[in-house]
Formats: sequence, structure tokens, C-alpha cells
Amino acid sequence: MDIYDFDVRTIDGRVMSMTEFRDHVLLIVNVASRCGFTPQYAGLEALYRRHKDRGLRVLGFPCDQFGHQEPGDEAEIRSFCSTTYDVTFPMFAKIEVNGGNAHPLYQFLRSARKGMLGTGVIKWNFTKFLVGRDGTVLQRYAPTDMPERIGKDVLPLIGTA
Amino acid sequence: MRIAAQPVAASTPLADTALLAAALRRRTEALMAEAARLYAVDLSGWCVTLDLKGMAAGRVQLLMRRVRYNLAIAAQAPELFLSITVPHEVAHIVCHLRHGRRARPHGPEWRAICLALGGTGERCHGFGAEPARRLRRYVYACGCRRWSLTSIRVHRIRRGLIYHCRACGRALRPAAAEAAANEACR
Repeated sequence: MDIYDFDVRTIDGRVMSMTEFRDHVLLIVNVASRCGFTPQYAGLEALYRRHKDRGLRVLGFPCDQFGHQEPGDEAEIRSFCSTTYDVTFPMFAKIEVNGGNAHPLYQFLRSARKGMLGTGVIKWNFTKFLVGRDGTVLQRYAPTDMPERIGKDVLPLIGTA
Repeated sequence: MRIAAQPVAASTPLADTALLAAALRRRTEALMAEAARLYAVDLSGWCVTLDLKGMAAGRVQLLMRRVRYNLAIAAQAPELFLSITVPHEVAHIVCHLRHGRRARPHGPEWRAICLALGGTGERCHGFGAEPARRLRRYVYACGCRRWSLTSIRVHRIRRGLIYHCRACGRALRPAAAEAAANEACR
């Protein structure tokens, strides 16, 4: 099983296959609108705009499992992202990332990169997974890791090192 | 000079949040392009976010290359905000690029740039605004006067930071402790 075996639902309700992101470098993030880390949207968007032409895709998955910090529906989330942070990277429907109802994509990501305590559980909003062009989950970043720092790891993957 | 807020009728297209956000970004980009031409500075790679809360209408984060606007204040008087706050913030960026840290944040260099970009050259806006939070204040004292410190500074002191009075040089202590120390010295 690889990352391209999963289907995801976009924030406007369209079901798409992860195969559409084949040959791209992916930064997959569970996001929330009312979190202390929410300003990271600005850094993620800047990273995406800087490297999207060279194949970087930032994928945002809203999740309400951490402190009830993503209470709105998809329409509210989309409006917030575009108005406040001018987000243009792909956003997806709200999902769960932990527990029995966790989205299969996140079950895969968690088992591929288990994180610092080795449990695999996502600790909070804005945990990030960096995926290479061949679908390998290369790195997992804590919510405190800023997008600006992650940019350094992205550069060799998109071929500008 | 303080500028009186002029509420815009609800029917104004700019009253719509999404339109206002787009207008703010367009205006900022246009002014940056103008400033880049006028002052021969590189203003590429800046982003605009509308996540600022509290009393400030706008703020520039130089290291993050980010301009932040307060959407709640902007919505009160969109046209004024576009014509006053946007040049104010863009002028901060240009001032930094041209003069570095030598220039004071609202000094003559900044003011000249702000005026050239069509702003008012004023430091403060006159829009109505509520603080994002109200901080508790504590009374501290040095050797010569009493100080009203916010909980932010008090927490820093409790973690070990020491603030000194610039006049008498003594460390600031809680007012009650200072009074007790003076009493013991007598």
C-alpha cells in the first residue's frame, strides 16, 4: 500500500484520488482556524507559492480533534482561509486524524512516521508530513516547526539545492 | 492629527468581507509596485494576512515579510483604511529597506515616505477599536517612583528577569515589598 491508494474529498466536496499528486513533493498538514499555530497558514502559503511551479503541493486537512479549534463547516473554513490568509493551496474536507474514525490517509501517514514518542498519534494541529516525489513519507514535523524551516528540507526535493 | 472614523453604509460593496480582503491585497500590491519604482527597492515575496486583532490597524513583520491588517477595524471604514493604513504600513517596509534600523518607526524618514505614497504621515488611526485583551496591572516600585506593570512583565520578573529604573538604577520590586524594605532600613 502506498500514499496514492487513498481517495480524499476536497473542501468543495469533490472526491479525488491521491494519484493526482503523483510525482509531486507533498507537505500534508492538519489545520485549524482557531489555533495558536493558525498564523502558520501564511508561511505555508508562501512556501507553496514559491515552489508550486517546481512541483510542491501543500495539502491542508481541517481537523477539529484538538481543543475544538476547527468548529466551522467546510464553507466557513474555506472563507476563513481565503479571506484571512489568501490561501490558494489545496484544502480538503474536515477529517479526523486520530482514533477509530481517522482518515485512512492519516492512518498511513502516522504509521509511516510515528513521531517523537513512537505512538504515531498526531499531537496537535499543524503537524506536517513531507512526502517525496516517489510517495515516500520522508519527514514528520511538530506543530512548532515553522514552514520557513521546513522550506530548507523541501529545496533538495524539488531540485534546486 | 487624528482622523475621525466615517462608517460606510452597509450597501457599500466593500462592506463585504471577501471583497474587502481582496481590495486590501490589491491596494497593498499596487502601492508596493509604486514604492518599488519610486524608491528602487525590492518588494517581492511579501504576503498580506488579515489576522491582526486588538487596537492596531496594521503591522509589518519584517523578518517574515508579512503585512498584517485588522479586518474588524478595516470593516468600519474601508475607504479610509485603504487610503490611510495601507500606505502607512507599506511606508514601514520601504523605510526599513532604505534606512535600516537607524530610522525610528514613525520618524521623519518614514513620514516622508508615507506622505509620498498618499498616506497621512500620522502614527495613529482614529478608528474605533477595542483591545484584544485587557491585561491585569500590578504596582511595582523602585527608589524614586511607582510603576504600573502589566501581567506580561510581572510574569517575566517572576521567572527571573530584572527591570531597572532608568532614573535611580534600582530594581523594580512589588510595591508592598519595597515599602517593607524601606521600613527595615530605618
